[in-house]
Amino acid sequence: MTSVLIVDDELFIVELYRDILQLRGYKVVGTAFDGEEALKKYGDTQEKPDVIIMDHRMPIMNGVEATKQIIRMNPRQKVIFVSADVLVEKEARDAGAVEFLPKPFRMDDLIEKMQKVSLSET
Amino acid sequence: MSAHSKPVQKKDHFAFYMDLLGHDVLNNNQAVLSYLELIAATPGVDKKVKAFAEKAVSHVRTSTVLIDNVKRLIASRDIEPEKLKPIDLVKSVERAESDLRRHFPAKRIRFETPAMPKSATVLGNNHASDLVLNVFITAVRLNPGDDIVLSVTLAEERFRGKPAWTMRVEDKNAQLPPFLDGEGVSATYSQDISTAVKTTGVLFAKMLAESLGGDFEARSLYHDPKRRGALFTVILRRGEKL
Repeated sequence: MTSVLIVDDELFIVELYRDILQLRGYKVVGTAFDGEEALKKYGDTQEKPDVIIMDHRMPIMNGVEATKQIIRMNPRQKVIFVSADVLVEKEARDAGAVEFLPKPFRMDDLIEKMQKVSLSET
Repeated sequence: MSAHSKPVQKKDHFAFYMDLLGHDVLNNNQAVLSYLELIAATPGVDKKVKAFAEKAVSHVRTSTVLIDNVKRLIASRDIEPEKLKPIDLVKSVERAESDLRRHFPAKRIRFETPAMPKSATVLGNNHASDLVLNVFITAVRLNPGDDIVLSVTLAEERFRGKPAWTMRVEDKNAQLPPFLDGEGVSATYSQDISTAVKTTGVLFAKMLAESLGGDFEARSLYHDPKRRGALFTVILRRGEKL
């Protein structure tokens, strides 16, 4: 079962991802509400998640910075970047995100990205 | 560092707030949209419930576009027409076609695109694509039916003495407010706000097209308030071929 870490500062968005992903058979192994918390949780976990869903606009540390640091820790980590700021796509990809999903997205778009990323080689 | 830790100049406070507001509304719309999709996709869901959910999806998507338009208009104040990059209008139309169907899942939308050129380069960055999608959405919103036929043509013409591409979108069932028939879109500014609210889409298109150095107009096909039919015309400056 593909495991997922969700990083977003909005509780209701985290719950939304959890509802969608669990319904489609994914295992949500953790959540974080800012980039720094995501880094700490990621660093502390022995078994790394298969996929991280990363928001951009968050307090303390934004998604691009968090992605950069996670990729520095583990260059094979798969990050799907989700943001309403389409202008941040290049920065997100440069930071190491393998996919970018602009908000508002359709549920099927998210699942399609999840499937694509889960099946891709690391 | 937080994305918003930079000090904000007072003159930018309005834009800053609108950006935050837009982001907040968008996040909430995302949640509504996805839960509606979950309802519609639930096995065994009643047909009527599914149809209601699909209609609600369209309204949430429209609300998202409306708030996005406010953000885009604020950003458009900084557009310098001479610095705009070329973009292929044909590709923008193709992309907008599929976006439009996703936007209105409960409607049956058909495009008629006779004699479409292979490419039509205009100056407009991604703003031109936003403009095209908004014109299509506006046409559908002004059409009370569920079967939509949009006829789209692109023609190379001149605008203010310079080469341009003109996109015409015709919807034989769209209904424009009668006051647009005389002076065109600009007439909206002299209307009562309760009447003008029907024209948010055409006003946005007008303002964005003008900020790109082009123009936009919306006219009734027949000068008869009892008959439906509208023609939307977008003019954008031609760019060097990509």
